[in-house]
Amino acid sequence: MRVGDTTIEDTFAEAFRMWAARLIVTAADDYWVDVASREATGYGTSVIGCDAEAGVERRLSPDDTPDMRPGAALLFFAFNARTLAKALPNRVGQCLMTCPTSAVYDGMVDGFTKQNSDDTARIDVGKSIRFFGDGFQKSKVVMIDDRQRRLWRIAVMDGEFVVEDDVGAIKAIGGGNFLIGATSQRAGLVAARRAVDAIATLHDVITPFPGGVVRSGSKVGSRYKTMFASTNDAFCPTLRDQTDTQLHDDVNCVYEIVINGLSEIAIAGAMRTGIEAAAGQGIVDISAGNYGGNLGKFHFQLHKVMATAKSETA
Amino acid sequence: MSGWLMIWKKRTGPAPTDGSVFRPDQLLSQSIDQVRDTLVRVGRTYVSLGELVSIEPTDADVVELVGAPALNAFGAGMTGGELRIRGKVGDDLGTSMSGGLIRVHGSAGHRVGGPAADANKGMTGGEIVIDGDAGDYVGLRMRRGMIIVKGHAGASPGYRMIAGTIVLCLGPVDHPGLEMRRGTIMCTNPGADVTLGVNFSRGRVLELSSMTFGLVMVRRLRDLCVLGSDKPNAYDRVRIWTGDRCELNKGEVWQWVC
Repeated sequence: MRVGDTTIEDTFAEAFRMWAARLIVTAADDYWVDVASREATGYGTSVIGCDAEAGVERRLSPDDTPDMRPGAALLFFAFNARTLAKALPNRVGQCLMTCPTSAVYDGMVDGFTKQNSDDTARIDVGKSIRFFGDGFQKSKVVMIDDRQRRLWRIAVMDGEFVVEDDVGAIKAIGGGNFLIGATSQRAGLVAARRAVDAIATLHDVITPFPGGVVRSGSKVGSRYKTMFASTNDAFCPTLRDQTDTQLHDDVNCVYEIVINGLSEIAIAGAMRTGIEAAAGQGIVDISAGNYGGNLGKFHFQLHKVMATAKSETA
Repeated sequence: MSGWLMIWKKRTGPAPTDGSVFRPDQLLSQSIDQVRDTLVRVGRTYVSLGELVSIEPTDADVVELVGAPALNAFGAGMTGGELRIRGKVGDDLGTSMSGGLIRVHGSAGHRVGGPAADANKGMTGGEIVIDGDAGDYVGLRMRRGMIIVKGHAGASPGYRMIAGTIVLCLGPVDHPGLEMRRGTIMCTNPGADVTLGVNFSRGRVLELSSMTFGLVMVRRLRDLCVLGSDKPNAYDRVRIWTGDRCELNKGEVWQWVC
């Protein structure tokens, strides 16, 4: 299969079950929304080493936030709800409560159930952070978007920090990906940025790596016992003659776009959008990372993803 | 699910005084025959609801009552759904309710959202919006939820309030929050005369932008059409008194200032 000058390899991306939560973060103006978003989603690239994978899903206008201020929807992913429940209060407490003018609300409407189940969970956020208020904290139950929601008001030095008592988490998917094989580093960078910018317009997905792009793609396992992931040598141009390379002869640089999403449809749509944007001059082929199909239960066949009608993935 | 439009019939003889049967959480899940057969107490006897009102199904999930006398305890104990009443209502509107929305297109009597006769706390959730005036002791001992009075409120709104939110759109506000433990009483009229008890602090003026909860409330008040979209720009500061210092001292009275 070809998109313009670029070959789409007949392979698949292998993705995994994860759990996700969405926080709505608001602040006095766009500058502080940016600051809050950046801090809260920092050090959130891969659960190989981070407590969560995190990213900005989209910016929100004042009309779309509970307190009519500019905001952003942030998505956080972890292997299970328990891990997410450790990461979120830490990130909210250290990165958002400390950020001037910020407030935090639950953005996971789908996960709104007070009972934990196999597919949804409630994660305490304000419920534990409220103790910072040292007894001066106040709880308010307010109708927001037709739901009764408990907010905590914690007195801070610029007024009050408002944080939702608990937030919803749902089953999601992490590790959707595609690999951009470029003739040069410059062509690869330009294509990767085109792909990330196109994916950034979509809902329900994030690209958690730096600038949305991974240069150190990994494979499972290592020759060293202490490592459970190591460099994806088959895609390293410098190792072409020392390993079973999967690189096309003309490829001299590979960038990976990793996509986490709330559903298979969202990830497939983001992959197709990203691949369409990346393909072009200087991009030899688009491939995908997988582990033989044995590790992740979600397989995204590139040809199938590209053939899917836009209406099905919108 | 569909709703019910209930129009009060003209009839002679004794009228009921208790409106607690009008609970959307119960009526919306019933068939029209079951609703008609619901018994309403009139004096020492009971009559069926079908004798008092004509009932028509509607598309909205709302129980709407038109032309009824000012019965007491409308929506008492309700847990969800929406009750809309066109006309005056009596005392004890929404006593001990725990969820749902009551909208009164008229005035209400005393003890809106207060406790039922056998309860020691008032409403524990839900919202009450009164387009007209309300009597004394709005939110008496309320525990949670929100009451909005778009007209004038009587004496001592939020008396012995445990928690929750009361919004008063006009003044004067006569001794709000006496013996309140927690909770918020907001007067959105900058020109209203607010007379506080001696157990409240000296008011402090703060920017509304630094009180994020105030912004959340403004959004909700806009959603309920209590505020226009031009506000709170004209009222971007609030005066906040705290009290009651003889209780937990965690209550607050807000008044928006120009």
